[in-house]
Amino acid sequence: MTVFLGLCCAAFATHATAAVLKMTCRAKGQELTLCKQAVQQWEKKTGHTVEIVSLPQSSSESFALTQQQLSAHASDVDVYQVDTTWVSFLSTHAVPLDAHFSAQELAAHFPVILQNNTVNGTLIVAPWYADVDMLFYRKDLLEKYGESPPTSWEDLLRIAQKIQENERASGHVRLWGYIFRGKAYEGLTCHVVEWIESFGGTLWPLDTDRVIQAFAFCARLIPTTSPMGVLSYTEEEVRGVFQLGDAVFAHNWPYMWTLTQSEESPVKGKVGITVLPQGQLHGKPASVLGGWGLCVSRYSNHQEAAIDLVRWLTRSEEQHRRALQASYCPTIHALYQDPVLCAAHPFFVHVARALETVVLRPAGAFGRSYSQVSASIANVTQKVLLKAITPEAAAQKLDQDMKTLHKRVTETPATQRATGQ
Amino acid sequence: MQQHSSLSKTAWLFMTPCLLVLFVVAAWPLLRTFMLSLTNARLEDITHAQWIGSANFRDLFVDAEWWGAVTNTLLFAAFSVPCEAILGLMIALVLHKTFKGRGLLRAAVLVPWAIPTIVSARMWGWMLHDVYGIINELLVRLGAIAAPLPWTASPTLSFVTIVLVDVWKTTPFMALLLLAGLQALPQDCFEAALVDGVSRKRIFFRITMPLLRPTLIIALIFRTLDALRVFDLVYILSSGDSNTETMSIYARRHFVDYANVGYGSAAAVCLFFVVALVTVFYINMGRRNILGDA
Amino acid sequence: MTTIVLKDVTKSFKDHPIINGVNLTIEGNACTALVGPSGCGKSTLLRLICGLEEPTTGEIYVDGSCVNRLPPVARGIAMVFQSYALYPHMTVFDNMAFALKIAGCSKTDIARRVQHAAKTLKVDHLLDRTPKQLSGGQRQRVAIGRAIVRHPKAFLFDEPLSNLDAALRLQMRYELARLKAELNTTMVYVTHDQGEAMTLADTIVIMREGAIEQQGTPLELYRSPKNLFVASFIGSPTMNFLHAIIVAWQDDQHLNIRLRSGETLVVQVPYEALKWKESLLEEGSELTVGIRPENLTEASSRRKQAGTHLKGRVSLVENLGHEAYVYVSLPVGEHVKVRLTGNCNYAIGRDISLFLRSEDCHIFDSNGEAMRGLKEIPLC
Repeated sequence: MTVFLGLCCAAFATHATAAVLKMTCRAKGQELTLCKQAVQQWEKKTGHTVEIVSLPQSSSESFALTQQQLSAHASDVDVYQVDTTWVSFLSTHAVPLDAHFSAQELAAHFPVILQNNTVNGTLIVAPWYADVDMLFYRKDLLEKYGESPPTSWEDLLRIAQKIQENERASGHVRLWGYIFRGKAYEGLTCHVVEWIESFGGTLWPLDTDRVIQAFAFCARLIPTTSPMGVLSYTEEEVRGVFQLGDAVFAHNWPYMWTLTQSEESPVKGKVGITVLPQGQLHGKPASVLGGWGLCVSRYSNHQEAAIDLVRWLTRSEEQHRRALQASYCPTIHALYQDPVLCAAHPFFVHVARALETVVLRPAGAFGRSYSQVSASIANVTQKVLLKAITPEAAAQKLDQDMKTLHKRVTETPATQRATGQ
Repeated sequence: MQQHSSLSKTAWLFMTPCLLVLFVVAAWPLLRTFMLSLTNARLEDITHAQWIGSANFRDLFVDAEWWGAVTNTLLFAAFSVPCEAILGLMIALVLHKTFKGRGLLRAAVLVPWAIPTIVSARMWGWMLHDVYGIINELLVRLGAIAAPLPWTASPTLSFVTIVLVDVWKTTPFMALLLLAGLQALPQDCFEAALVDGVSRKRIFFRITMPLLRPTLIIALIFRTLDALRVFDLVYILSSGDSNTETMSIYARRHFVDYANVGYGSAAAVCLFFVVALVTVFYINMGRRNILGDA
Repeated sequence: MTTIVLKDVTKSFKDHPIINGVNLTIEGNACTALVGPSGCGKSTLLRLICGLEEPTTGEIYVDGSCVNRLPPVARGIAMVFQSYALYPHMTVFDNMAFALKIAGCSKTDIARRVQHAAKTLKVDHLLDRTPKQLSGGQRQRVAIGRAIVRHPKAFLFDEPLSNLDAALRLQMRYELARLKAELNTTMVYVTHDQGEAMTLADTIVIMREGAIEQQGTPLELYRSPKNLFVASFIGSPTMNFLHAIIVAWQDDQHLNIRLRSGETLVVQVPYEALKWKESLLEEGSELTVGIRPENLTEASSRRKQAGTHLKGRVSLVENLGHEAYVYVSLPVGEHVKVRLTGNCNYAIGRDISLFLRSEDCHIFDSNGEAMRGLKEIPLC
């Protein structure tokens, strides 16, 4: 009888501790599949269940969704997949994670990523994968015309124009030279920061001369080497055009690699990756730090289980698997020396290089106003691309907008409350 | 006298559940939005919002982007509604005749309206893609255009695209409303007109149209209100630039993206008043005809 | 003076025949009524004449020219619809003037014509109203006015009085008769009410199931119906029908017949004219004797006169004030209705004896066709 009761208790206990967690995850490319696979392993291991909620494609839209959930202090979702620029918003809503990672584990990540994910000395976002914009190019076309991958933007434009003209003349009428994410959203803001930094300038505080140089470069893109359609492209549209073989150069995140090398891809075996070019003379190759991490919501009812899930998903083996299967760049620098990974993805050496010299978007400086700043930057750039305003006027407008928004940041009590906590 | 008052009491009793629902679903959120528009509420901190009076509205009225959004919305309504009305009328007239396969055609005509806007907008975005879109491919092959056009990216073209897709989507609705109106018209009038020797064209303009006027006005009211509130189509198809931003999108941008609840509410309130104004205008214009000879 | 001729006209809707081979001549400056039960095709025939439908086969001639392909207005015909078909959004004046405006008449001309027609129809004080503000009778007059102003070659009326109440109908019937005399134009008038037809028409055409049963003046149809259908259709209340058989032919002109109830009578029937139907004229052949209620009288007042007596029982009495209709059930299960002048206070079940003269009887053979017409009835 006692044994029976004991068994019942045990069964009840296990059942009582089996939690149902909810987690948000992006569904772009293969992300969702990878996430589901890892989560299933964890479910088996711990006996908990996880429901995955997929996020919209656009990072800006995902932020809007996440922002609404957390602002409402909802306990629905326990673990959030978050972007690099959301950290200052999350400072009041995410559980501090320092205590749950050993010093060794933390040291394994790139310092710049950890720095980005830390607010007031506390780590609130566990790094999951890094994203740095790379330059994808058509190896076969460059070889055909006897060119090597460009190291400066000027070079890129020259090569792009040459190949585009010649290929179109010989029948490939849909080919474009250089495509990028031109829709007015966060993806374009990344490009703008990259262009400006690659010309040796900074976005905040605004380095007017260099910014004008960068904008002058932008103004030359449409329609010489880039279609006007880029103004509606996000990551997937860029991949779509490049994967169909209709672009020479594509400016996008590394996730594109595995998909363009898949069986059905028309450009399989024809793709090369390198770091982004620099602006003429004063510049350096500059990639913006992108990437996503995981955080645990303060309002979650299963914080312990959620933290465990986050630890599981961000550990070295999982990052290795994601990198191998789908070219998601790890945040752990040791993995970039891993022989298996380097053999599968030779371009990782470029990614490592980019990560060493990565630049940050001014999210920290603007705090809550960052989305508005980002929108302003993207809109101004679209106008420059359309040649609707001159680079000088654009730089001036950008300067004005950013100064106005920064003033708001320093003046509102809300921000003080957020950063002061 | 007593019976009258007890009857009216019963009437109120029956109406109460309905009024309650309306209040909760419509009146309360509207009131709340009015209240929020007079504060500096932010999404993460709505409870600690401070009263700032009409400051939001003042900021709104000096924002060039807001007026751009208003212009875009009004232009959108001004172009799409007449197109839909005329096309809808033509389709309704065709469907009014008896011919083989009419039932099938009536069902087929409804398909664009039946597909959820999100789905059809994505579909069109796909088809209108400047590089791998099928529309460009067809037009180039037919020789109608020399090179693929950036339908959703070019500032001028994207506005045209959005109007066209909206016309595609909503014409069936107009067609069905007008068809119902046509079918309710007294048929003997038309025979009398034939006997009187009125030509078909004149029958249409002098008899059909005046008799159809009440239905047409109702259809126009519905469509104009919808057009002024347009959101999902533009959100999905546009490139995010200010050329096609409508009032709803502007309001959402500030309310959600920038978490500026107070300001966004002010924009929403303005949108509400614009729509209300147009409704009042339409109703007054059509009053004489809807109610018959008032 | 416009004549309308229909030659071998048929009309079917999707293999459903509505009109089966109609040959009809409508005389000019006279009113021809198309009468018949519902579904007999009279309205369809009217629409064929008007031009709203095209005949499946056959031709229609107006004043000698074939108008099959011509639209209604080109035929010079105006129609008054059963539902009046006024334009709801136009005033009475505009309704009546519309056709003239289309035809391009001058404003003064239009005004003159409309005023004249409105005065004739007594709607001149309603010219500014819309159809919604008019009563049924007023709308009907406007509909007629709309037809009149066009000065058409022929008027077509499609059951114009059937939407009116009884009192109004009688009043309008009088107005129409007056109008007919004034206009003196060809008219084709469709109705299901034989009383209307009898009073308004110069010629009545009786139709059944898409074919013409008989055509003639009202009195002709009343006195000499060609068959049972026409006999039962014309005359209100309906003719009484009694079963009979042929006993013998007395001679070439006289036929001895016996009713089911046993009474015999001798009727004058021309054998020569009917010789071709010999099989129907043998002894023992069945006949139907028709006698109108107004031709039956109570026997008591006629004892001395030569005729036949029917004995029966009163089963129902309808007193209408100036006359009474008495239903009498005869011994062999037949019933007759008799019209008596003045008030009748007979109790139900009372025995009653009826008197009829053989000159008043209509004789129909076993196919339902009349064997003779009635002689002239002297004026009272």
